Amino acid sequence: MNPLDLFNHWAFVIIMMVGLYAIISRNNLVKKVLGLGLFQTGIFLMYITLGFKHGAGAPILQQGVEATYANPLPHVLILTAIVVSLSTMAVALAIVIGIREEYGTVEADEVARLDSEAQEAGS
Amino acid sequence: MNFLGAWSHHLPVLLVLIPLIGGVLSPIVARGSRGWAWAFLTMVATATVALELLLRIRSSGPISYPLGGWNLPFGIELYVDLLSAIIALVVAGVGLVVTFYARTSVRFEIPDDRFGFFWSLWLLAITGLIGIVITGDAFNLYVMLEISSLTIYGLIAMGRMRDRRALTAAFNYLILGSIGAAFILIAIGLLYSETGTLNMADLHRRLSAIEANATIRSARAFLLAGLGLKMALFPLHLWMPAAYSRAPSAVAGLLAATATKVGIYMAMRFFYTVLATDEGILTAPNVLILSGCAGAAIVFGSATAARQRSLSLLLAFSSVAQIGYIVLGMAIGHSDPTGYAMTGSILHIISHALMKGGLFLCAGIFIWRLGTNDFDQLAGIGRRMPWTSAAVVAGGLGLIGVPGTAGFISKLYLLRGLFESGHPLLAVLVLTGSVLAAIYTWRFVEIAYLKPPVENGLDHSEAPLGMLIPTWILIGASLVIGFYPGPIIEIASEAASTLLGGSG
Repeated sequence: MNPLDLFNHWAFVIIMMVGLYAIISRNNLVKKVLGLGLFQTGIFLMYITLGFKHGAGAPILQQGVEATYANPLPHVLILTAIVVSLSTMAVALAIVIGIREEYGTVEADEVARLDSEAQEAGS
Repeated sequence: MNFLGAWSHHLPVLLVLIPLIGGVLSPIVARGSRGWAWAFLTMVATATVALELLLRIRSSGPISYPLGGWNLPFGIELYVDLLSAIIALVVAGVGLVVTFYARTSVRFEIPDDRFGFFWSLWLLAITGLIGIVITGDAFNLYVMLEISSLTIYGLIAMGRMRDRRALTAAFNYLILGSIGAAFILIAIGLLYSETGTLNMADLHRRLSAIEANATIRSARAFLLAGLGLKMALFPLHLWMPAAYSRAPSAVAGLLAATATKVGIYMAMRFFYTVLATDEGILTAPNVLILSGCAGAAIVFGSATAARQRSLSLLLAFSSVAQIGYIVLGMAIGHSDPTGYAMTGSILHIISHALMKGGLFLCAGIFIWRLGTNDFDQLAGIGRRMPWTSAAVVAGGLGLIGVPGTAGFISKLYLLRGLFESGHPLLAVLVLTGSVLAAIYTWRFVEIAYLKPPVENGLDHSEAPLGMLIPTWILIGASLVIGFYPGPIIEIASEAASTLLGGSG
């Protein structure tokens, strides 16, 4: 089998891993959220590939015309997942705005430092 | 009990629709203090439907409800069997009691102008949790999972008025929870690509007909990781202690009692129904991973709990351990021909929901009175707040598994199952966990009853009845189950045998 046949599968895994790396390695909370977005986008590609077929058209049935068509179901599913991902982004950014309001920074290490200082001052 | 008349065959969908509509309308129809009344009424209706559904399923078997009348397996199916009905009732019932409690607690933890949104998120979170439990469609399960997760992130972040670290807790949970949910989504996609169906019963049929290949094996692996994150199974529990201890008290009570339990339900559903094939329900590596993590969770969670400086954190780490017990029963459930382990696991879901829900409400009462539940501020509290402290002790005895509490019944079944299936080493771990639970419960007893009270000028009188009654309903229910375990054991073992029966 030609490894390029699985091009989309390689691509989705690579996109996901780039996103995951950004989540782990970035210190800026907004960049972490961007990483999460990339991570989820990788999964969209996987689902879209599931419905793909060589030489297939849109799934519109016509009387008397025989044609191969792409499976629409994964595409419909991923439409839902895109909405979910969008909402996740919105919630995540709202929380980041809250963190910025309370701490005055969106850097994870700054937030952690402020928290530990507050704890030492409290005890 | 047929007060619904012609509507009665719509029960499964009503269970999701009532809190969904209640939640969406909440910010519009019920501003300010009326919000609570609206949420409470919605929860009363939801819990009634859940109870009716459980009774109906016990008398006449599982209910399948095709949404919108689409033919199965193409349409979305709601499928409620005994296990789903039990968990749905736990979510709705504990949700109702905690809603009662939240009337008092949210007033000082949430800004007034946010009440409408709080109750909206609250009801939608319960919608999602119940939806996960009663759906028969794998993709619908993912959608419901995200509904509950997104609302729960919001609810945790609302703790910022009391403790700004609630925001970072919510953020970390959001990142880890989304990764977990994404793994579950990948697994569902892989299963779909192999079988061409999303209906759980249909998935099971088609997966049984084919040999496990790389696609199915990777789907299993993604499920294991994703569900592990969602149910906070050690070592994927990192989001949980911070989220539980910084969320508003009522939210912590709701989450501790229901959210992780629903995660465990998903694992039971996927591994014992969807992925169950003739060659075995759980493959050997899955059993090893699950029981290994569960055993480590029991020891690590209990030992860490004993070292915490505040009641909330102690309870959260104790939850890590208790989830270990439940997962342990599930992991070895299939190799136990008597079904004791699985029964113990289901019993522990119920008893832990009651005990830990009640305990988190106690922790919330201390926060309401003292602004904190750090142990150094709780010294001598046993004499000043006798009812709240007694509730903590009663709940703690349940966590240890002292006879006469619900925790004893579930651990007894779990231990019987471990011996029947030939895992005496794991049984030793369970007992170690109980000893450690005795240590951390004793820490509270020592601080609350044996130390002289601290003078810090704060009001130390007993909590108002609006908080004490719901706390004691949960703790009391766990004691009642401890003394009259008959009916609960019967239902749980019936549910366990249905679940195990799927494999033949």
